[in-house]
Amino acid sequence: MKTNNPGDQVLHAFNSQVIHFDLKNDNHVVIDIAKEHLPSITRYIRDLGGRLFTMVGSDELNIRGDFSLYYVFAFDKDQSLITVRVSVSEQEPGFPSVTDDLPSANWYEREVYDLFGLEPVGHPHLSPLVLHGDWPEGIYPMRKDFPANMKLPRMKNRDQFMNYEGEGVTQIPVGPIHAGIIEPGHFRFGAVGDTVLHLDARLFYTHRGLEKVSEGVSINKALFLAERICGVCALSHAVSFAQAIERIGKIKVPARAEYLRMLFLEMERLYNHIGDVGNVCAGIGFSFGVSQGAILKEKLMQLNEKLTGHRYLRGITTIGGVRLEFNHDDKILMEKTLGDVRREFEKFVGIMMSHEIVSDRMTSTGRLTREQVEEIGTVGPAARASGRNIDVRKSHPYLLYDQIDFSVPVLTTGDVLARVQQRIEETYQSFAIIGQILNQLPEGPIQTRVGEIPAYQWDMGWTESARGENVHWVMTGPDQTVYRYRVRSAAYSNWPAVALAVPGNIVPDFPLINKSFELCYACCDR
Amino acid sequence: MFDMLKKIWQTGQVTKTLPFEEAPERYRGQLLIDPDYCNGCEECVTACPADALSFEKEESHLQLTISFAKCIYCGLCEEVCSPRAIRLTNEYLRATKNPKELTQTFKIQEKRIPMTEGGKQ
Amino acid sequence: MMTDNARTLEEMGKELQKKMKKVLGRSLHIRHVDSGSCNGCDFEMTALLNPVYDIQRFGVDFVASPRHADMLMVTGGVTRHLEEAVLRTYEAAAHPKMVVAIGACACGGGIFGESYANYGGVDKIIPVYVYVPGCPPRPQAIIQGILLALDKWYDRK
Repeated sequence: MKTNNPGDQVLHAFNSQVIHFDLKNDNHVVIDIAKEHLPSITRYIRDLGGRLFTMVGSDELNIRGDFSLYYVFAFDKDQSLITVRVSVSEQEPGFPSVTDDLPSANWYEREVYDLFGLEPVGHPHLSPLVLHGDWPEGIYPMRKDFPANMKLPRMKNRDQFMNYEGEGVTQIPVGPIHAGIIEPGHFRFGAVGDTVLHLDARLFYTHRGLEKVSEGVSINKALFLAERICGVCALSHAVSFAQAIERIGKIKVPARAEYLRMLFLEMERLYNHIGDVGNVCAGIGFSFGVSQGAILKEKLMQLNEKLTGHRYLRGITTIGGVRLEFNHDDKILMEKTLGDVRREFEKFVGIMMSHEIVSDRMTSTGRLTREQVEEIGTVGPAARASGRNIDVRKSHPYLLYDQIDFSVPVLTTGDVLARVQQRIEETYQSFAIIGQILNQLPEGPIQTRVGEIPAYQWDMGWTESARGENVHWVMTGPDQTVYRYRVRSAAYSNWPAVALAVPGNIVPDFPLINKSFELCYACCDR
Repeated sequence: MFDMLKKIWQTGQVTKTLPFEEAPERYRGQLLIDPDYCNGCEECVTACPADALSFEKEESHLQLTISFAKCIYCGLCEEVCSPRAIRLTNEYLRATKNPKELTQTFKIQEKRIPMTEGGKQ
Repeated sequence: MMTDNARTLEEMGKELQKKMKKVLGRSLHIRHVDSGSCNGCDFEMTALLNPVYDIQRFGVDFVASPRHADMLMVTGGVTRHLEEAVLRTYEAAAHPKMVVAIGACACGGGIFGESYANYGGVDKIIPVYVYVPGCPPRPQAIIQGILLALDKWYDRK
């Protein structure tokens, strides 16, 4: 271990409070600490430069007789992770909230309260999040004694929205069924005239209980559940889950399989980014852009289908490798199609970005500052467009990204235009990455034999999807099953940013701002 | 304005006049089950991530049931089926008016069940 | 359910096109309802509107309100949080309220099945006209679902 790394510093500073610590690997230290020290250690880690990577609540009454909370912090400069584990007993299900010091912990703590009944004491805004207000109070579905298929009656709704007093403030409710073909979410604007004062978003409409359903099922089946968290980040989720299991089982994935995973992860980014650049034009009624983007996206989807048998790249991941043939003809087809798409994309973007309507409507719309994105923990292109340079492909390399030469574009203005520009630049990087992968693709096996996966071990897998980092935390159960599965998608981290970017803009710009983030509801709601 | 028109003209017609062309070879579509080859090993039932397949013991035979309302067309059953009784085709037109058609059953002859417990040939 | 392999796909395409003309003497308006899908099916529906499939040339369009819609296309297995939205959309839709269930989740719960948060199938909540299985179904399969629903509607008359 390097000296003076963040893990050592934290251990040194909290020497007398640490109950126990161990090393998951060279870059990841796990610290057990009593729950009353949680705020002080969180502040210390935050000041060292750590950011909240994910936070997981887990019912471990059957294993160790208590609930566990895992706060995972990432240090981007040192490529290291620190996990702080605190235990919370069933008799005293409270723990000190850290949201005041670390605003990005807000949703995680509310979720733990909704699903486990562990109360973040001192939380500034503890209201229903994952389960809507008509869920019976005092029943917590993620506890192990709650049967997954139990149906419960509806109660009187406890949900609250912002109340507006004073003259001239109009409340505009929208959703959950929207006008276009999009996913369900409920938004309430408090508006004065055309200008939005405040935005309340109620999400988690598509909460399917995925994490609960995955408990007790075999690891191989859970992989297919992971693929179905979201349609357009399917491969990213599948690879994240597979990596978590491969870390637990110490499975070495063959190089060819890792390259193929990278290849199609970049394809996923490409079809998303190109589709999103086109689709953002729908927010300003620029139909030329919409159809050009859709044509290119469709070309990529058809390429996906020809190469892998699935337009959304499902069913090509397996624990320990990939289920995919990729021969010389495929390489030629891919090079040719992507060459065409790249040429077309350049022309299309050239026209689009020089058009008046685009610069008029997108410049300075929905602006997020770097301070804001850092405070609420925004990730992905939305964060990079505001100057926050985070990309787990660089800061916590996985697969073989450290063998690929690429750069991470970072912009500073943080408005809709910047987020579109960000995607365009990332698209060019992805084309370059795919070119390198196709040239470097080694021969060899694509799967490795998977032995016994040890029970009651946990680890994480992460990937940088088109929307930002997806972090999957998995604890295995006996007989190759999943004990606890927590998915923190990019959308989960980024939704609070939408609510922050909209106020001050006019109501008709909301669709545009929303499209510039292009967040999935399904990823977030699970 | 003219640059857009030029680009549209260059793109040309992309619309498919006949939308129902064949799916690519690797597309995982409709399952074909040949009950004559099935040996009743139930490997496919174990492998299926969506619990779409099931075996029931009838009086004189085994019955294999597949639910297309659950099937996610992952192709794992085809991979694990050693006698190759299950095959995925690239057929994709599967819509139906009748929910009963979403479930298919097949008679598997008892004699084909392997004698040794849980054994595959 | 299975297609007749004796006919070539091209012939079938032509026949279906003819049927579209006959059945769609007037236009068909569809409202999309997401009842808790992973958004895979939703994106395939969006693909129907792209210039490649361009379903609008047949007189079919997706509309903003269920009150304008003849058909509801439902994706997802109906979550607890969306049950009310699905019911109210169904009530608001115009006659004949054709419901097409798109994808495995909508047809029968798919991989998620039934849970505290998910009902596992659209037909447990509202009557379904046509089922389009697949995860997700290809855009062409969704067109086939639309045609079957029109067939069913005409046969009823």
